Amino acid sequence: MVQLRENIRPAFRALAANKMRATLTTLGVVIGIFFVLLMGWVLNGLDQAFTQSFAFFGDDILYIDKYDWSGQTDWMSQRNRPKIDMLQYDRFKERMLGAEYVVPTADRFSSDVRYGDLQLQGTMVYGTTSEYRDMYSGVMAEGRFFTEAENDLGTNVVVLGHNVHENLFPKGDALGRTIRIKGQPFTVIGVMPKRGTMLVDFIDNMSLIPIKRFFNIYGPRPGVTINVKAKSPEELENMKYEAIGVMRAVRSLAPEDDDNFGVNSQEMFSQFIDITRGVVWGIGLFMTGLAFLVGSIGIMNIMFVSVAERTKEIGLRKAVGATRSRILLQFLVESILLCLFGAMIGLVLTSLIAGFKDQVVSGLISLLSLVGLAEADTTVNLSFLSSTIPATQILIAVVVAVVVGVMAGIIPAFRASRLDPVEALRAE
Amino acid sequence: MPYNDEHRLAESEGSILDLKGITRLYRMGEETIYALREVSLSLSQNEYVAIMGPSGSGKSTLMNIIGCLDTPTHGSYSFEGEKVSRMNDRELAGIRNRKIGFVFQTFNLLPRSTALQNVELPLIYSGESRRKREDRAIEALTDVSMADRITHKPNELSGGQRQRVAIARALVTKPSIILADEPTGNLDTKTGNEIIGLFESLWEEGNTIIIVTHEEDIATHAARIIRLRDGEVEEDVVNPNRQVSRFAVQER
Repeated sequence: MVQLRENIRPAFRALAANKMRATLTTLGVVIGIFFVLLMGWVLNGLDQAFTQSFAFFGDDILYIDKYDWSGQTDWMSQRNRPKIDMLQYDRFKERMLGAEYVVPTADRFSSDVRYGDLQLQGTMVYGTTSEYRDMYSGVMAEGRFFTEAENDLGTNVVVLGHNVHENLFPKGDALGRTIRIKGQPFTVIGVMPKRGTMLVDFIDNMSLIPIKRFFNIYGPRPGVTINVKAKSPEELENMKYEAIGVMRAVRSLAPEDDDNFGVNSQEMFSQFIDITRGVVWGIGLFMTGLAFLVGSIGIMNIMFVSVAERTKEIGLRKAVGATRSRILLQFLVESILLCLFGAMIGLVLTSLIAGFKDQVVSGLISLLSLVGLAEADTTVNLSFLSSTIPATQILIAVVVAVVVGVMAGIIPAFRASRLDPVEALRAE
Repeated sequence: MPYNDEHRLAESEGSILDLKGITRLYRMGEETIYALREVSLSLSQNEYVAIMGPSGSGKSTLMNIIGCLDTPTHGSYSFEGEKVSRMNDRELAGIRNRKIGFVFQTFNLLPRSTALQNVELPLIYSGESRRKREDRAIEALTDVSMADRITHKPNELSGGQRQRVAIARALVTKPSIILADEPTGNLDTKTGNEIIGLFESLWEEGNTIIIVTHEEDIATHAARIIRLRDGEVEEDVVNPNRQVSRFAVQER
């Protein structure tokens, strides 16, 4: 440790003597560390965004649907599957004994939700049952959910999603008012809180009505998704097998037939996350690797130059008692410092980008719009990215810099340590 | 008066270094060159020796071997009873660090370091604490009358001053011998004489000094002169007409 300290000062002095050279040499490392940090920063943000977003699906709920949501299976081949209707739902619910709740939902995009003169575009109308509220706790912000009786009767009542409420009733006086869905009057009895996340915000754009009424309005064509809630997250896996078995029985599938329905859960999205992560990693790793390759060659080169220039100094140091390992350490420390210096610049650059991410991205967009690659008024939600680089990322960057410093410096340093003192002293 | 056998015998008890049958070979392709051939000599405490000889005589090789920078091909070399000729690289570095103070023709100061830092260098390798290093470096610089220049860098010093700093660096570990290779070679006559005067006063303070030189003027100040020719000791005598440096007297 003492040795290390004694090596740092002269290394600093040696680097300070060639500031320009040192700076140019570290460019590769600067870029490398820049990518490492940028990648870590983005991945970190994506992770957070994903977990938050998909947490909404619940870790104890299965979604039985015509389609597999994972996107693993060919979408086209799933189109010919039969839709799930209410009859199948009823039979399923009857036999699905391991579940805490079995609730149907059916949805339709609707461009026709209006209050007075206000009309909302691109919202969704959901049909469900009164059990929906029990299944998703915390679903009510104001008012009440519809009752079993209203459900069975198909009463014209509606519970508004957060965004629907905000847009139709900016003053927040929705309860008791009548809105129109596809021309039919519905009384607002409740309002949902904000439930959406960055990637999953459709939920705030929906209006919930009794499912019986839903099929009255939209006809029998929309399929049903069966929401199955386990008694605990641990039982989800077992429940999945039960659900598959029950659904196959409901549809009277022969043993050799494939499932003609999808059983989805939050977990499926983690596959999607992994793919995205993989892509970011792949690109990042490639660029980082390239930058470090170039960077370490540059540093190795400059270290060779440094050793050659200071051959006489090495001879002198040996003459006054420096052992081989001391010389090795001296040049290794110099190489590591060079890399850490590069890492510091990289860190500053990345921190600037993180700190001014909105400005940076809007700047990029306006630049792209100049050459016609983007719409000038495009906005990107960057809230999933933190405005600082996480400490773990900085630690990783430092470790990477040290490793690159050692790898790039070891051969020149070894050569320096092996110099014959007599020869070295004779050098000019 | 020749440095005869009975003299040597009498002194072998208190000798610092003993070289016996030292041979150093260089292979240049097919040819084998004898830089040193069966050289034997011993040195006692507080001697002042000049090693002389024309270029190619082997005096540099001898100095490198005495200074533990190089190892002999054959023969044995003991430094204060320790067999240097059998030491590994690490042990040699230790001997150079603690026992030998080098002074070079070209001073070999680190250009970006101050006089103080330059003098401290050997103490860094012997693992002294920072405080102790500084104290001893200042002491050594005071001994060579450079106490008022400790923060100067080499390019802010004259040639003579640079050599004084280099001598302070050689002294700072209180070595057993000071080994100077043409110490006045890059200095004008007057400055060179001052440096020789400095060596003389160091000798009078009890230091053991070996100067390698080809200048008769410099050698005349030494108490003993060893002449080499073609890798062999041609003459090893007590200097019959030794000159006391006027500058050394003036210094006091």
